[in-house]
Amino acid sequence: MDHDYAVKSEACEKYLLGELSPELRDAYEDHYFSCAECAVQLRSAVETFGASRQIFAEQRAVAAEPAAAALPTGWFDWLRPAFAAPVLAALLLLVGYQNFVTIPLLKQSASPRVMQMFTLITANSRSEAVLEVMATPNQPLGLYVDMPLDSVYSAYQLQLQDPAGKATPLRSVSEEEAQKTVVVAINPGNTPGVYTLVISGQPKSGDPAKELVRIHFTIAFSPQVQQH
Amino acid sequence: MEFFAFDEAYLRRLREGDPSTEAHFVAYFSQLIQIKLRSRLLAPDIVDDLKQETFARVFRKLRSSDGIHQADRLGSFVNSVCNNVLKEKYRVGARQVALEPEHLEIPDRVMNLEQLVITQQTVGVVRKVLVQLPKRDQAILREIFWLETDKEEVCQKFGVGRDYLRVLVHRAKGKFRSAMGP
Repeated sequence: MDHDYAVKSEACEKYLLGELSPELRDAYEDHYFSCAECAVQLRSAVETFGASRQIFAEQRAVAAEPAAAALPTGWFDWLRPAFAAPVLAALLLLVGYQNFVTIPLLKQSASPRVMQMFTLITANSRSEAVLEVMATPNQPLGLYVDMPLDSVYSAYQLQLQDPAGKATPLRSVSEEEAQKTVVVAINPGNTPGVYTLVISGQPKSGDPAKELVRIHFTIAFSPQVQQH
Repeated sequence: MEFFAFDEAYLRRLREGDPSTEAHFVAYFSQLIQIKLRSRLLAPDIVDDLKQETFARVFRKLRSSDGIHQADRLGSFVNSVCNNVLKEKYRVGARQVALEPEHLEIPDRVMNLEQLVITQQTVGVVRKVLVQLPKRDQAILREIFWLETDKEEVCQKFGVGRDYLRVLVHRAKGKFRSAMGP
């Protein structure tokens, strides 16, 4: 395969998507091992889509649009004058009360919110590639974490250290819960910087808790990341 | 962006064991070998094993009496050594590496992009590029490269053809390269 053919046939794209026949794949590989320009293009493309994969993993929460409620049929049959007027008046009073009193209170206390989620699953205390989290100020965010499982521990305690080194206890995770990925919610306020998630194990023997792993990640703030 | 041509001087330095030339050689071809082996959907540890074996054989040949004499064939030589290593190890139950025959011929699957070491700079640039794409295109890329949804299913879900996927990958690739600069 020569360079012109590789470019015109979109060999790089097809290779990434796994769409080349074995023969063309072999020919393209022989080409990019010898052609510096194609090698650079391919490496760049692999990095691009590898990075996008990491970014998509961070964007696990998807805002769901509430479905518009359809008005029941026959509703308008109720609007007969003798009946409708007092009913409408009562309804207006109720709606007014809800709009100006009840709903604002509900919004403050219990409105469902979509939390930004990020994964620390591939991060570990030995990794040089520190995860950078792009968060929204004063909003909680969720972290997917795997516990460093060991049967000597009955539970795991999680603690968050902020950039100033101040430690805040988070949740504890039972041995049973630790078998699966857990979600840890944190709220970094509006303090960017390097945070550390400290995981300690509580030995079944009753000995003091032992620090097992420290996972470092950076929190930065930006305009809300576009999600889909 | 690095465009590098292997010449006779490079080949001589490599044969003589010049440390910086060796380091460059290994760094340059490591990435390409990893990409090649990932396209076979091999696990990262198997990729590492096969990569090490490939380099061991290449260096052995380079320094032998009937070594490589044509610098412009160096890349092709590395690729063919890698092919041989892959074919030798594919038999099920091989001593060092358990590969299935279909690892040589897996059709229509996106390359394995798991556990790539990506710099934060790259992630930052790609993030900016991604948000510039239409939402639907972001969703398609997400399906293909993160959820690894079958491409036919992706096409049906989004009402696009396979050509659209290639064009999208091409556009995203181009935008990223522009964003990264020279």
